[in-house]
Amino acid sequence: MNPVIGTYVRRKRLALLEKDRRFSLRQVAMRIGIEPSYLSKVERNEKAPLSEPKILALADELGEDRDVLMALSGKVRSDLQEIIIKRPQLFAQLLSSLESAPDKAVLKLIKSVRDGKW
Amino acid sequence: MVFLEDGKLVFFFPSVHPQARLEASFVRAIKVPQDGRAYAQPVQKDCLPIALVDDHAQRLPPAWIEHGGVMLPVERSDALYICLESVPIFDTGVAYPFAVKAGAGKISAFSGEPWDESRFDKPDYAVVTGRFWIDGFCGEDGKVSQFVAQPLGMGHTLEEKSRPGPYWGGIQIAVYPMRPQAWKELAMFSAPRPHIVAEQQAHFGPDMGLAPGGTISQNIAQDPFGSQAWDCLTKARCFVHLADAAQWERLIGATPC
Repeated sequence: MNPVIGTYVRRKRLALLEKDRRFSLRQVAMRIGIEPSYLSKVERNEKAPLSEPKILALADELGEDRDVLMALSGKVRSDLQEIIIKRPQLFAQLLSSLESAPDKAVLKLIKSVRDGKW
Repeated sequence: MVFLEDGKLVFFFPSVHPQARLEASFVRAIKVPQDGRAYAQPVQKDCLPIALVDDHAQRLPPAWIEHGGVMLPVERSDALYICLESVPIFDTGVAYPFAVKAGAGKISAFSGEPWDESRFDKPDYAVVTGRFWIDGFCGEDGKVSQFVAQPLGMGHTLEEKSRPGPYWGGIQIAVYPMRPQAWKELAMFSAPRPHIVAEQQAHFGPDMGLAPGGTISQNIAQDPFGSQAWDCLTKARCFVHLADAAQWERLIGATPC
């Protein structure tokens, strides 16, 4: 288990718990379908891997970005893996070439639309 | 995340669902007569090309840069509609639902009231699950006044007729995906496909706005999911500038299709 996600999840959950008691360890664990003790292990960065569906459920539960939580777990969404597997060399090249590119260059590549002030 | 793909504006919410994606295209249509009668949805003429504002920033008015978004060319008196499509999710066959607010000159095309992105307690949005058209400004009795492009500054657009300046022109779109939890509950339920609507030269700049034109009949449905279903925090929005087609070549160095 990547230690980053445990700390991140715990901090986020506790922040939510301050405003809403439904974000206790027990209730969150039950809502995503794991044992409270297991979520506790995750939060303490002990060896407690979460499957992709559980990570996504946890992200939804905490109102976090799914890709961010997946990345913190050292994983890539399965649908993205499928895309890469279809053309592995091409996507490996593409990602390597973008590694040091500034955000602006990446956004231009995907024709990202900037939202302004209105 | 909003981006352009194959001439369409794509609102994509991978953090909500890997396939939560709504595509928008802007279609020039046959203009219906303004004779008091209600007509069926007008025939499509062609899809309007879309360009990123940031790709042509050096030639555009400063206000356009500030608004960001995209732009497309329209002729004076062109009728147009917005085509929205949420494609079916692979493993369910059900299109991911979105709530969509649309406005012209920051006046809601659905309610005729000032643009408001923060609330869902008014009927100023449509629920899109599948394909959906916004043909014009919503009126009473399910009738819609067709969107007709007019130069901003001539007093013809709905915003100029409705309120004092400053005027915004263009089209504004805000898209809200269904909350993941609500989507799970919807699961395999085949959602209804409500058909709400909306809508809208001696001149001073490239800015165009939308005016109400002839009347189109459409069915208007209520939100079948309820306002709590929509994820206000994960919205994406876009300002769509309407550019005078006569100035399009100067703006981007290309001829409108």
